[in-house]
Amino acid sequence: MNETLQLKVENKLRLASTLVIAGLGLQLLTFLSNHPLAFLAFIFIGSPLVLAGTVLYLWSLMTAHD
Amino acid sequence: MVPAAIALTMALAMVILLFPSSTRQRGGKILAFFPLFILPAVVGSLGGMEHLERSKQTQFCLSCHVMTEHGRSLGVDDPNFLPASHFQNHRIPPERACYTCHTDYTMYGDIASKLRGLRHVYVYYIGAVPQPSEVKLYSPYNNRECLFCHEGARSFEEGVSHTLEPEIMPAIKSNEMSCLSSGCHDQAHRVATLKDQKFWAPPQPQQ
Repeated sequence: MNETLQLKVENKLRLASTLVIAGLGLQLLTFLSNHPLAFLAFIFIGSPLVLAGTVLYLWSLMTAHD
Repeated sequence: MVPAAIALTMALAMVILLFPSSTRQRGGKILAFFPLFILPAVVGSLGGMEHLERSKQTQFCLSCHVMTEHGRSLGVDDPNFLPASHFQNHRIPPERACYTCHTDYTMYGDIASKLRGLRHVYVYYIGAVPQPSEVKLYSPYNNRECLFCHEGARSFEEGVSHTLEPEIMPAIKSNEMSCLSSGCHDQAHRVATLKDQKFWAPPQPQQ
């Protein structure tokens, strides 16, 4: 894999990691409270962030050999 | 357990964030696969299940102040007051009092119930919150919840009022005759009457 392509993949991995960490961090915070809003934040904010990071990671794998 | 797993996944993802070039080697590629794909899916599922379990707790339901009076009604000092007598005599688990009798409420019900649950959150924070006495069930209380525990119990099956006429028991079991709204066991939460009630104070555990 050439250097330019490798750097692009690494940038996607950085972004994917950031999204996953942000989502997981929020999910972790929701466990501090036993309240409907914590549940909704877990489902509707934390989980989509993690999902976006995971999808971006998979996309970076698929485009690594373009 | 679940928070620890989430923290561990975050730590591994942090390694990829700080050292993305580690994925140039085979070992790094494998390392990235876990915190960016496998572990988030696993901890997300476990976390969702944990939240669902926590939402069955009485404390969760009573965390919205609209439900405060319904929670207070569990302490009424009157054996005929149905929710209170079930709660105080541990006929239902006190820590899961609401869910035990309302098993199809909001997120535990069908899609319409789930959407209603979201609407409740919207109304709670943005809309006009109803008075506790105005909070009503959307559909008549289902005998299924009562029969889950009482069906087959001698006190229920041989109860005088349940066997007074041969058609009563089948009507109860088929949900045609409501346990609550047919004038038999209609002392449910009745939050509008709480100001006239005496309340039971549970004994404090001794040190």
